[in-house]
Order: sequence, then structure tokens, then C-alpha cells
Amino acid sequence: MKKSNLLGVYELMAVFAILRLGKDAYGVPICQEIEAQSGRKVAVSGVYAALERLERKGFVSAELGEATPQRGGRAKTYFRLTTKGLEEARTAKQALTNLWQGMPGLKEKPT
Amino acid sequence: MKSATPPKFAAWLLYHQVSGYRAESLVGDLTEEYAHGRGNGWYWGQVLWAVARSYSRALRLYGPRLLVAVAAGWCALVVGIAILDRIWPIVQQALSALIGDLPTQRPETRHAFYDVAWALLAGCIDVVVGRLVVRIYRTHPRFVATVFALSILVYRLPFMYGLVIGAFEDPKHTPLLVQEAAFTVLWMACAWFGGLWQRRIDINSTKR
Repeated sequence: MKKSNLLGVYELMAVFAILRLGKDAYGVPICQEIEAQSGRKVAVSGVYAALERLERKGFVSAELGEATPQRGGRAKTYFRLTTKGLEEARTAKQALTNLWQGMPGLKEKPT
Repeated sequence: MKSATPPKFAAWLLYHQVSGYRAESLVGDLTEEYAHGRGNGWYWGQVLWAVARSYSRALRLYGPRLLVAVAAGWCALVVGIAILDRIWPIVQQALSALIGDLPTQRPETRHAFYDVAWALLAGCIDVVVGRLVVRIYRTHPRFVATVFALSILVYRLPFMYGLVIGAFEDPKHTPLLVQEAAFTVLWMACAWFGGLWQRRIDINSTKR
């Protein structure tokens, strides 16, 4: 069996948000995407903590972008998924799908 | 789009107390989100989370060095105050000669003058010690400066508590309480700004 760095929930959500956003993936849209898709409020600093862990593991790469007056002159950091990160995302998705299939009782959201 | 500026103290906290991983972008993201119409409550919550995470990250990664920096600061402070104690009679003589010709010669006025002089000299020691502490723990200068300043407050609290009780029992002790509270704030401020002054020098020399 392949040895893997298991991703936490925040890390997984950040990875999938980066995947969905493509080249526009910086802090603000990543947080908005996570909030929109998960329906939960997130702390921006929490997302950055997850991104730090992902970057340390080599799953994402970061690149400094432009600074705008609207941001108080602070530069954006754009995040990209690395090949290793993409592979990890696929593995995580597959693992979650497999686990999900074993639990028929949780298929539908109770009303 | 919102044109109002974010709450001032929250913005100050964000700009001055958050450091570490991609801190500049985090600050920019929160500023941008606020400009896009997020409320003050949201902004305050995010800033407090960001500061707490920044502090906990600094502690997690460099905790032992923080303890070393604060301990070294206290050692230097004890030595500095001991030296000041030793040379105080000489300083007092010099001050006595300086104010000898002043019209006010009441003992309590002279006593208060000596107290203020002592506090100012101790404040100078705090500035130097603050610089030393930040030099040892460069990772998060504002964090270590805050921790060291708070450690001075913690050290002074039992004494201040005694003075508060004394002032409640006899209002004549209130001026002493006010004086000691002012000295505590002065020493904390000296230690804090001493550390950040060092940081400013570092930034300027880097720019050059």
C-alpha cells in the first residue's frame, strides 16, 4: 500500500478550491469558494495555515502577485497545485469515494 | 463597494501583530474582503484569529527560543537594576547638586524628583533590555516584545495589588498607587518600544 501524507479537512477543501479556481487562486477567492461549497464560514488565517502545511508538503506552490490600493498595498499570493498535489487530491478523492460507498445509510441528507 | 476604513485598532493589530507565513498576503486579503463589504464584526473576528494563530505559530515553532529571550531579558534587567542601585548614591548626589538652587526645597518634592529620576533611568535600562530580547528572538519581534512587556506587568502585579488594597483602606495612598502604575506603564512601554526601535533600525539598514 502506498504511504501517503493524509490531508486534513481544511487542507482538502483548500486543494479542491485551488483546483476549481485555476489561475485565480489566491486567498480571497479560495476562502469564498470554500464557504460557497461547504456552506461554512472560514477563518482566512485558518485557510492560510492549511496552505502553509500544503506548501511544506510540496502539494502547492506559491507565487507573489500584484499589490493593489484596495488591499492596502499588500501583494496577493497565488497558489497552484503541483503534480504531487494533484496526485494526492486524486488519491484523497478516491479514498473518500470508496469510504462513502460503504455507508448506504448516509447517502441522502435526512430531512 | 465600501469606502469606510476598517476599525482602527483592529487594523493596527492586523498590520503590526500578524507575521509569519505569507503574512503580507493575509493582511491584504482581509483588507480586500473588508473593502468588498464585510462587516466590522467579521473583520474583528478574522483579525483576532489571525493574531492568535500568528502568536501560536511563533510559539509552536520557536517556543524554546522565546523562553531563552525572555529569561535573558530578565537576567539583563536584574543586572542593570543592580548596577543602578550601586551607582544610585552618586547619581543622587549629582541630582542634588543640580536642583540645589531651585526655589522648591520641600523634602517631598525632592523625594518625588528622585523617584521620577529613578524611574527614567530604569526605563533606559528597559529600552536596552527590550532591544536585547528582540535581538535574540528575531522571528516575531512584536510578539516577543509584547511577551516581555507583559512579563514586567506580571512581575509588578502583586505589588500593585498591595497598593490598590492600601489605597482602598486609606485614600492617602492613592497618589503612590497612581505613581507606581505610571512607572509600570512607562517600563512596559520602554521595553516594548526598545525592541521595536531595534527592529526599525534593522529594517532601515536592510533597505540600504
